Order: sequence, then structure tokens, then C-alpha cells
Amino acid sequence: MDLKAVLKNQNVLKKRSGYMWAMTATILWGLWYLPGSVLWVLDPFATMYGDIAVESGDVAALLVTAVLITAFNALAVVVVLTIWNGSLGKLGELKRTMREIHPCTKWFFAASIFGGPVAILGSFIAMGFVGAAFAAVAALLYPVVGTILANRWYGEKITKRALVGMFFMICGGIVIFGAGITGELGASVPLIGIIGGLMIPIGWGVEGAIAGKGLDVAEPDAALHLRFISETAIWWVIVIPILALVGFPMYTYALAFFDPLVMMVMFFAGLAFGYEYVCWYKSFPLIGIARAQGITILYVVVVVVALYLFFGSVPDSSLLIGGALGIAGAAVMFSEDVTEEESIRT
Amino acid sequence: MVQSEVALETYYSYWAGPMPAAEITWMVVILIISAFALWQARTFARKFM
Repeated sequence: MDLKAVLKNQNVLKKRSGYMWAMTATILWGLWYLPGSVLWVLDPFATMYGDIAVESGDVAALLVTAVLITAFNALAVVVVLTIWNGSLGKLGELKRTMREIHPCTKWFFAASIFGGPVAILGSFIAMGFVGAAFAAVAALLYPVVGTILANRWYGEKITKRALVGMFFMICGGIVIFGAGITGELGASVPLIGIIGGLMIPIGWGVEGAIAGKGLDVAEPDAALHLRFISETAIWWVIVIPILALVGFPMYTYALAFFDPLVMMVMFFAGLAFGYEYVCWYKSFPLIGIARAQGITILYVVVVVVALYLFFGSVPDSSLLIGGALGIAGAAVMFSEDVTEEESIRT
Repeated sequence: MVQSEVALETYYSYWAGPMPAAEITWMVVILIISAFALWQARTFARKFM
């Protein structure tokens, strides 16, 4: 076999691995909603929400409790990624990436700002002020932002087939949540809810594009670990102390976290979220931002199946039609002949 | 903080799906997929690194 054929084979294998990473990320993202939902009913979060709602109202209670849950979630992700990188022998690589502030760290710190306090907080704001369906549709639009940015910023190729697949997926998302949105947007929508909704696709879309740039020079496992260390620092060093200074009892409830059940549920939330994210990051350099983000919006289908199997929530027909459209979009992307494409960039 | 009775009741009421022992199997599923991801990472590193 000549060198050209060997390189071509390796290219095909890498693309297939990229699709596998994206699919693994999709499944774990969908499963994350199980612990993510039940955390809200466990103490100290349930008590915290109730106590703050009495004094400061439901909106403040929702936001402040969301911040504490997100901060513990980020911490749990740092723990599980230490296990991941430890077992892959990449903790040394993490140290090296951290020291390289100019080419590496600045990108992943920026990615953590867009992914954490912009996208995740935006989700909670949109859910609290408008509704869950609105927040979910907004999240489904993040590949559009990521794809356009990656294309304009560093010339990532978008094939016609990838565009068609993404179109199907977005249509599926709109069908799934269309009815809910119509109901939620029937009344007057507060401006802050709209801002929260815009924060989600901008946050995750920009994070993907920034991470794609940083991954030109960094190793994905170490990069993702660094991104979550940065997010954890943002929550625990900046946001939580500010909220405590403003008068919210953040530390009282944070110290009440050490109960075996809530710690176990948080560990599994961190495991699903952390490994989902690392698979997502690993797929970027192999298949590109557009395809990786397009495939992972199929998390909606996984969420529907998981909620039915574990919570007994029965999906209605719009969910099934939307899910079918999403799967059709993924099939269009998967069936693309990747053997002729030597680079994901122009 | 120990979980209150209300918190525990609400927590266990969530796991009402058709999956047998849903309150335990969700963790098993996450563990299996995570272990698969880690195995995939090790295999990928062996092939390409």
C-alpha cells in the first residue's frame, strides 16, 4: 500500500471516530437531564429555593439556586475529568497546556465564559422567564451560530449534505417544541427572557468555534479539563462570593451539600456532563464544528427516550415526528462519503 | 444536611418509568456509556498517537 492510500485510510478512520465521539456525546448529553432534573428536588437545593423564594421572590430563588447547582456541576466535572485524564495518562499534558497561556489557555478560558455563565445561565433565565420549550428551541439553534462562525473565522468547510442534515435537525427541533413555544409566547414575553434565550445559542455556538480554534494547538482531553477548571473558578471565585456579598446565603447551602444521596446524584450528573463534553471536544478536530454540533442536537431524541424509560413521561406525536426528522438529518450527515475529503477546512 | 422526608419522597416518585428498578438502572446506563467512552479514548490513542 502506498503512502497516499495509508493516509487516506487513516483519514477515513479518523472521520468515523469523529462521528462516534459525536454520537457518544449525544447519548450522554441526553442522559444528563435525568440527574439534572432530580437535583432540584433534593436538599440543600430544594430548601434553598424555598427559603430564598419567601424572602426575594421566585425569580431570584430560581437564578441563585441555578448558580449553586451549576457551580457544583462544574466541580463534579473537574473531578470526573481528573479520572479521565488520569486513566489516559494525560495529567502531564494538562499542566503543559495550562502553562501555555498565549496559544492555549486564553482560548479555553474564553470558551468557559461562553459555555458556562453565558449558555448555561442563559438556559436557566430563559426557562425561568419564558419556559422550558423556548429554552430548548433556542439551544437547538446553537449549531447554526457555531457553523457560521467556524466558516467565517477560520474557513471550515460546510458541505451541501451537512447543510441539508442540519436543516432537517433544526426542523425536527422546531416540530418537537413548536406547540410549547406557541403556548409560551402567546402572552407578553419579558425582555430578559428573550435575552436569556439569545444567550444559549450564542454561548454554545461561540464556545464551539473558540474551542475549535484552541484545539488547533491543544490536546482535546487536556483542553476540556482546562475549560472546566476555568468555569469552576468563575463560579466559586467570582460569582458565588459576589452573590454572598449581596446577601444570599450561598455558603450556608454550599456547606449543606455533603449528603451521600445528593453527592451521588451530582457525581453522576458530572460524569454524564463531563464525558459528554470531552467526547464533543474530541469530535471537533475530526469532523469539524458544523457536523459535530449538528449531530449532538440529537440529544433531544435521547432526552425523550430517557424521560419515558426512567420517569414514565409519555411523548406526544409532535415529539415522535420531530425525533424522526432529527434522525433523518443525522442519517444524511452519516451517509456522506468522507473518503475524498482530506481536510475539514478550506 | 440529611434529606428531608418530603425531598426523599419526591425524589423516588420521579423514577416511575417502565425501566425495571429505574432508580438504580439510570446510574448503570451512565456508567456503561462512560466506560465505553473511556475505552474508545484508549483505543483511539493507541491507533493514532
